[in-house]
Amino acid sequence: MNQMKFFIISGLIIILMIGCTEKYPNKTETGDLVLTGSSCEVCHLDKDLLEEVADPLPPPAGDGGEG
Amino acid sequence: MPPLEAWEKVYVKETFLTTTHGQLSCISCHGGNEKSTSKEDAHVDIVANPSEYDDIYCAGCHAGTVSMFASGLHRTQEGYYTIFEERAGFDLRDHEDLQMEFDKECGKCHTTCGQCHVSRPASVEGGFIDGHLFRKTPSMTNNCTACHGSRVGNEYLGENAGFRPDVHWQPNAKRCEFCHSSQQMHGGAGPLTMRYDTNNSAAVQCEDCHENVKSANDYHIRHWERPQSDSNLSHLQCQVCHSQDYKNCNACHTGGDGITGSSYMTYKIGRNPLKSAKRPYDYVVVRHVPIIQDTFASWGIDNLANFDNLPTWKLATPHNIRRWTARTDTTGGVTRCSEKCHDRGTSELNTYLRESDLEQYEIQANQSVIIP
Repeated sequence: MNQMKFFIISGLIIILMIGCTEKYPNKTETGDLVLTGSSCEVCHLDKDLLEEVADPLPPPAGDGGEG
Repeated sequence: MPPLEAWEKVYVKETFLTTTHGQLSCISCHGGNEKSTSKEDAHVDIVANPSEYDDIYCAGCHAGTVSMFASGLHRTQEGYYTIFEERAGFDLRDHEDLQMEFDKECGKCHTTCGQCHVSRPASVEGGFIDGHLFRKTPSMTNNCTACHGSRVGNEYLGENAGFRPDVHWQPNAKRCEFCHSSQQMHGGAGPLTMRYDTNNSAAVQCEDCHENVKSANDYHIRHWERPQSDSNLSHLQCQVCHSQDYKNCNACHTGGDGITGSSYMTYKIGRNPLKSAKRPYDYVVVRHVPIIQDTFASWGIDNLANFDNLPTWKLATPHNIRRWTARTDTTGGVTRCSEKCHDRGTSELNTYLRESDLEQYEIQANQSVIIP
């Protein structure tokens, strides 16, 4: 029984640790970027960050090319 | 082709940083402010498509190609201007208002280095193809057929219902570059008025590879080699026998209306409207193009003054070649020339472009093409 409790508690701790890991290590608590190099790379190499900050696209303009 | 997601268009892969282009600082090509921590400030004065200014951003390393591409049809869109002038009677570039309309509606077909080698073209809303990695040879689906899809792409890949792919198409092998050289794509023939310009020395022709079968069978001898002894034999473009039906379009209007009516598949033989040393054929296949007298009405041109100067059925080079087609397949004992082609307009084959195939508004324009 004690062994089961140990595993459950350990599991919960691991889940909490993963969940609390900072999503964007280049951001401060206030959300500002911390630059160690180019801000271009900080954003454009980070798929999740790009998804978060991307502006919605306007509706497609219709068929392009040969029509 | 559905556009990429907004983030996907600008997502850079880590591996890009190890490539030659990735060694350059971002701002050396794209400008902007790399020290800013706000999205808006970082993008002030950004150059999203540096190769729009290829003489500044690309010529330092690719001087020869940039110089050649300056006269490339993909860049200049000269064919549009040539045909417009022929039908309208004036050069639209002399009219600032018309040039603005052209840039807005037709300019998406103008291509830059980047729109072939790193991103999708503007006509399909752009975006990196592979995390900013450059490709020496453009992607067939993301670049070539992104623009040349509804006719060339669908023909070549066999995506028109009831028709087969081009015999040259072998997945992952014979893509566009199998026939279309880098020199041709970059304007290596020098300034041209359009792609069928007689000076287009870089344009590919079937004969470039297949000259060795010129006398391989009686049909080739009669319609290609043509012995001097028989002056009545007509010279046929290869596609006359070897192409399947292809897509044709009706009238098109600027200002958002686009193509009027549905496109349709058909096949028509006409007289060669662009006979030259490079295209000496007497007969060619012709495709209906989406033009009508008031196509540019939204630009203030209610009627193209010289509409009749050019045919609306134009020389075509369909990309759906097969050895055996409705013309060449004699399975079942159909061997008489009259049963496949020489029907004199009396059978249901209906392969020749006749005046009866034309709408009233285009009869005069097609006199040089129709077969009496």
